[in-house]
Amino acid sequence: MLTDQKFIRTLREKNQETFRLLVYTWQNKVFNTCIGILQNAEDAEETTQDVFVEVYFSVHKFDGRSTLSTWIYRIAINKSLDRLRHNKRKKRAGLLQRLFDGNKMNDPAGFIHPGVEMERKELSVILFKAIDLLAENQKTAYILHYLEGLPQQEIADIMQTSVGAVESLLSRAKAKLQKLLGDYYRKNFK
Amino acid sequence: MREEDNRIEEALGSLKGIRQAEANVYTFDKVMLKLQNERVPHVSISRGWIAGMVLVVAINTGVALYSIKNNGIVIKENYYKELESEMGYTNDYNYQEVD
Repeated sequence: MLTDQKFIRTLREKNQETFRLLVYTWQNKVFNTCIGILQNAEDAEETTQDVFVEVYFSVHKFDGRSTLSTWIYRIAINKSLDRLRHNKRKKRAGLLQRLFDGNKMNDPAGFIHPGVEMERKELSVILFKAIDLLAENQKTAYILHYLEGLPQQEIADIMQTSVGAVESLLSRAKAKLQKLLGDYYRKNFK
Repeated sequence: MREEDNRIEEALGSLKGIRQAEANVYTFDKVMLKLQNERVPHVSISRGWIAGMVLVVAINTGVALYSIKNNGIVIKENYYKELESEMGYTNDYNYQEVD
């Protein structure tokens, strides 16, 4: 098994086999993170590819102060958030267009994460709708913790913050989700 | 209230046991394709810029041609004036007075 340093050295030399190994090792983790944030499989697939293109081109900038894992997760988060902002801008423009056209906006179908257990699918759709309404940093921490199963220390490294701050983000995210879900159930089940 | 709390807890717990989503099996090939496209330097100049550049070149060429032409006329006029004064010609001759 190559160490991070050796691995990075061969990556910097643009060794295709090393790069292939990196992609195969990381593709599911990156895709899972992207799909959690973007809640769209096509966008997540495209973003996953962009993440590896970025890794390939900027591996010379990797200074080794963080682990390779942290660095790749960071790129995945940044790329996903960039695409999410881009999508939201496009959505706003589309909404304006539809308002001027006089058409009603269709509520998009809920997102079903491919890894959710069958009997929990319906509930997870509601949860993901609520997750989508969280602030970016709360959403990031929540996805990394509950979807990727990362420990708080690693999330803190990825988000370049302290463990305490991650803890606070997670607890605020949970409180917000409880409120959003409460509102949803009051509105739909009374 | 308790029912609502239960629902909330159930929704929050819906990610329990979640499996990692799997990436497309062709991810590596697609990445390599993107890398190849990124390597080819592509200069994208919009049509507007091209039209602008053509206009600037046309204006400059027009101005240059006009000034060259005008300079030529001025030089010629100066030459004739010098020649006239040298030969003692005048252009204030009144032909009507000849009769």
